[in-house]
Amino acid sequence: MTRLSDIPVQAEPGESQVVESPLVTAILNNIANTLAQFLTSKVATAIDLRAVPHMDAATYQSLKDALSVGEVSAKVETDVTIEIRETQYSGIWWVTHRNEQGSIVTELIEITDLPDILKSHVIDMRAGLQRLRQALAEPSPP
Amino acid sequence: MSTDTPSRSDHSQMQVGSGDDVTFDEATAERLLQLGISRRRFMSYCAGLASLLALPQSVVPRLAQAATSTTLPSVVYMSFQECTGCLESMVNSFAFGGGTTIDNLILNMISLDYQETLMAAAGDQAEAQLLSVTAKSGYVLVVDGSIPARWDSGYFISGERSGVARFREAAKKAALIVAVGTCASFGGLPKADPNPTDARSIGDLMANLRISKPLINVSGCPPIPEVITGVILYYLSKGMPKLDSLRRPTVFYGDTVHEDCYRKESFEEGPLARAFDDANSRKGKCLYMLGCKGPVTHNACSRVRWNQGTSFPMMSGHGCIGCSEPDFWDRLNRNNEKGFYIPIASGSGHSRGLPCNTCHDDNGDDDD
Ligand code: SF4
Ligand code: SF4
Repeated sequence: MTRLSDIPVQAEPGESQVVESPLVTAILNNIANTLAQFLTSKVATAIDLRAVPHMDAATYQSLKDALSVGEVSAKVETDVTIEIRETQYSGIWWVTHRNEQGSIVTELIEITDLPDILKSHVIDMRAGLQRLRQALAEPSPP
Repeated sequence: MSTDTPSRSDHSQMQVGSGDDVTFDEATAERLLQLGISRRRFMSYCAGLASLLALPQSVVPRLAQAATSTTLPSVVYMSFQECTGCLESMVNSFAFGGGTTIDNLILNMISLDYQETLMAAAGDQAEAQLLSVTAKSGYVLVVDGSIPARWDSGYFISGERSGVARFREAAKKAALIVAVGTCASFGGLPKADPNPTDARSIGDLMANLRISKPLINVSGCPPIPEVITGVILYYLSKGMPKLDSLRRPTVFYGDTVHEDCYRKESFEEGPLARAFDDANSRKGKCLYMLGCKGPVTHNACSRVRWNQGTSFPMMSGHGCIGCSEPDFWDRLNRNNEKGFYIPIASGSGHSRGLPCNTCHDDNGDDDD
């Protein structure tokens, strides 16, 4: 059994990268301000990477490297896949929407405590409860 | 008429809603549940659509509401001098085949009350249907095809009425007119030289007939299906989109096809392809010298792509023929020549600021 002393106190933060691109620095500053706002207002924000002007492949990669990855990752799998990954900075999420062929359709940086796509909806929960109750009411096989 | 839609860069960052909220309201979530559509899948679809429409992510709940609403706006879709390619493009790309797929849902968000090709009714029955749906106000009138300017020319008669008479009557009580395709937007093929029927675009005809209604041109031969649906969804959730000087939504027609073309690097630096399928063409070099009209054609082909985002013509080694621009059939290119395979400009290289040897051997002459 794992002992308490075996559990790391904190996840290893990703390698801190030297940010060379002024565009990346600008986006990171923007994210920092937005995260600070979220802490006071609780208003979630999304940055649409498609709408960031002049986002070439190199800039994209250095932004991704700078944010790196944190402890949490999740995947929504329907006919498409949505990958949700907390970055090394808590509250900053990298959310990738892929189509049926696996290509990226939308990519967002969400600044929030938990991206909406992960939350359950009360309507779905009610429907789930109903189904569960039905299943429990059915006679169990002999 | 146009709204103050933010430019693409303005809304790269937007609020998505209160941190305590689940994005969709109960009615939307309930409707999705009824239709058997995964809410998260639909959220992803709307996030993609918002991004495509250059809208903030905060609009996702509104897009979802518009697409799942049970009060459907009435759409009257009339065809004039056209080839049915526009409708074909839309129908083939979006699941008309039944089921409850998301794309089907988007088509089901309108009540298509009149469309000659798709409706079961024909003849007198269809005419009666047209008269009854256009008797009420507030429908969206979608038009494809151009219309002969004179009602008595003998060209285009349907239901014993000329195109002019049919359009004028149908436009009377419309809230919005959407010209779908280049024929409706700018005259297209029927208007090409020598324009035997004296064909006019819907905008020109409206001016002749003094019809002043909001008009959106969704040009292209045919338009990209996602663009047609995107414009309708935009109108339903946000109102009138911002339009360019040719009344096309800037969100789709603001950039040229050339802007996002992956062959652009060699447009600037050379070398250029010289023959279809030559070594340079195969290496992804620019098709400018083979007549590509990408630099002067406003459309979303290289961004949205065709066939559910698969590709666009330059990826198959064929240049853009400029199908979303006015009079593209008769465009005068280099040396005043018409033709899809004639390079755009005279002085091609110099006018683009290219070094001479990009296009030809530099023998000391100044002109291309
Ligand atoms: S192929 Fe056409 S659109 Fe692409 S870079 Fe060349 S000129 Fe521009
Ligand atoms: S690439 Fe050019 S010709 Fe082809 S569909 Fe797009 S705008 Fe029309």
